[in-house]
Amino acid sequence: MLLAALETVFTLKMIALIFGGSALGIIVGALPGLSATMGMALMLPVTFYMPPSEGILMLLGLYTGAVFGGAYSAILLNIPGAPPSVMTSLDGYPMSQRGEAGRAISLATVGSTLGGIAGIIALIIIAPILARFALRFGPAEYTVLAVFGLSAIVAVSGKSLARGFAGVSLGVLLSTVGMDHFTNISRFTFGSIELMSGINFIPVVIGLFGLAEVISQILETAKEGVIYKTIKHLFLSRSDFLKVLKGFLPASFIGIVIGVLPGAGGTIASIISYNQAVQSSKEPEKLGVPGSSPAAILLGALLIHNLRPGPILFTTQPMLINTIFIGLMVAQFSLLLWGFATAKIAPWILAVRREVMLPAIALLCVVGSFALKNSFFDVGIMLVSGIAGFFLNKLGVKPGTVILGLILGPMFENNLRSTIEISGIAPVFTSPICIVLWILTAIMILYPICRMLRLKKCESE
Amino acid sequence: MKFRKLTVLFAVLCIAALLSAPTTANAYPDRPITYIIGWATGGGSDLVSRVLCAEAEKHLGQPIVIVNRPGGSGAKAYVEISQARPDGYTIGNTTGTISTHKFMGVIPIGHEAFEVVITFNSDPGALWVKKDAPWKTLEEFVEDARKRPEEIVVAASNPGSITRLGLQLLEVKEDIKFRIASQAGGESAGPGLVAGGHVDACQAAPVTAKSLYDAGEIRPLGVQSEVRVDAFPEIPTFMEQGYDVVMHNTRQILAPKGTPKEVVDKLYQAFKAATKSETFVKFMNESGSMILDWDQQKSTEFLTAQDEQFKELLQQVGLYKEAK
Repeated sequence: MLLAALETVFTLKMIALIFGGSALGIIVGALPGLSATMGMALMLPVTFYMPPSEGILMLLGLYTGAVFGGAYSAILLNIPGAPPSVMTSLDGYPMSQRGEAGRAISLATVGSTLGGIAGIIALIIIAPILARFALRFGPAEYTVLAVFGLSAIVAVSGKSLARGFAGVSLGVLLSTVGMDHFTNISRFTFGSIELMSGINFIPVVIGLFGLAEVISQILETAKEGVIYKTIKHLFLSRSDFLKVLKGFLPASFIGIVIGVLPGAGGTIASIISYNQAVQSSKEPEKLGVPGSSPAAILLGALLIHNLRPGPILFTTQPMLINTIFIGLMVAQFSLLLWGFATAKIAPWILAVRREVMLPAIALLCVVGSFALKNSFFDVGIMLVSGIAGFFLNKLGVKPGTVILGLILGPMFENNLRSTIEISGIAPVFTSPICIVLWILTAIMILYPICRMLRLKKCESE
Repeated sequence: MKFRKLTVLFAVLCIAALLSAPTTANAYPDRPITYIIGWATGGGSDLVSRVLCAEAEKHLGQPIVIVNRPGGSGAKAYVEISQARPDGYTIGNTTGTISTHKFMGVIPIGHEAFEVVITFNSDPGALWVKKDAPWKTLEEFVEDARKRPEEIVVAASNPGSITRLGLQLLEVKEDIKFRIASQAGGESAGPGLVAGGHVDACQAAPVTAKSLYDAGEIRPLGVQSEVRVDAFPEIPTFMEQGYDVVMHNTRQILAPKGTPKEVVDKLYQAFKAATKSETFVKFMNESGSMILDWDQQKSTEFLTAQDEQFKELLQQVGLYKEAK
């Protein structure tokens, strides 16, 4: 069976489809606002005229590429091109500001590939078990999972925890806009149909990260004249590689477990594993490109091709499953090729004069926020978030904290209310999975505080 | 002088072009058609429409350009389609929300503001329980609910959704009460909650519940269509089991009011042929969705009846609100 699957994948046509798909995916992912789902939906009619294995492998290549491609705009322009790459921009962009864009891209490449491969291996071995385990997550468990995610606040809020909480609260507040799914009452919509479906977080991300950066750079340039960026460290050093290895193992494990939960998915998985990677790294501000685990959500891609992911698929379509796993592996290696090939070239985009660069980025922000839903309203949201983001930065509130609140707020609220509707609040504190999650949350929050206290003690001695 | 001659020539050409315009209009469609989807890329309406349009294109001889305008469960797209030029070059799709929005104060328009091209798909509601649940039949379930009002927990989507209305129709008809748990993510979360034992039952279309049903984790008590669903011939309907509960979430293609009859007919023929295509039939059967090919008259009759039903039901559950 495995051999047959290998034969299917290792033909010139299949390899070309996977590599081509991932190259296309990287472009889609790198353009802000164009998401992996969108790229796949657009390619869907094409794949209908291919046999399922070819069609799916191309889609998988595209998906893998798109998730990774988001890292480019995140690192180079501070615009996370795809939702899961929000976390990449937190560390990647500062690196490229230091002239180490090439290194950041290489790190992201290695992190993605390793994380991806780990994810696939894990899926091959434990996917059927994980899928069953995922069923045990009900509203109560998701509620506490959201709390656990919020503990990432410690990692993303930088120096001031209070400002971090302020940012998260703002995000949670924004997330309450829209139709309340429990009472059918519109909250803070002011009669607008646009706001009924809530504030989409992608335009907010593009504004808070991308546009806010453009504004602050314009002001900086006006003050100090044109600055040329230095470009150095185009490649990874040996020690970088070891560091990635060390950070990625636990991070990708967490990523896989959370990524497989329906409703949690890649973005939340990336937040939590990022949090973990930052805390385990000795120099938290410098490393932490998360080992992404796209493989788990990749199974969602099957849905599009009418192969419903679930335990049944493993017994009814073992050949297809094997083909998919091998194809996925190949797709990971295609990332390695594209990633390293471009790590030396892509950073030169930063050498473009700022007078040319900044308007171009601003334009990308506009196009990206429009493309998501073909909506000018979203462009407006992006502009407002951009201006707000500029001032938030001045106040020392990290934009990442707002995004955290915006994503996790609804997850927390909806699941908590759902829990109460079903059986009251008790399960949030009594279910075994919840108790484990509470303990993990406590560790996440207390560990850095204890470490800080110990450092202070050392200093005073 | 030469310039003036050119101007005159240009003017003549323009007039000629204008005059010839009606003749080319006879050959509808002579340019790409825009198809507006009121839901996000990758969602249910989006996938079905993309597969359908890819087939319909072949019969129309012009490409169909798909534009997603998500917002307010289709409300934004409905408004946009209704305001487009009625020339057949802007069309779009709807779900059952076309009959709920206007009774819940969302937007003042319903199907009467459009020419309905075709009803091409239906997803009936269905009730699911865990594989080892104590209820073997719908009757046992309903009778148990009668004995223990508001104790059996059933997951459904938000109030006012078609999914939830299907469940509430059963409540109203049988004068029973469940404890309904809202799911913000729509009905798709329900089957997982049932399989994991977090709730007793859920209301969800077969298309949504298929994967966990195929895996043997959940079991259907009945489906709310008039006749059994092709993809699930083994699932009995509510009607067969003596419960007069029929609830569909149907999808139509809409054109703005006033679109010429010939154009609507041409579109109908193309989309009807598309619903018969091998690709579309395979896609729908594998996902477990029902294919329909109702024409304008049948669709309009259905929607008018659906309006009545939903209006009454929304009044009974206290969600009725006059649109501004």
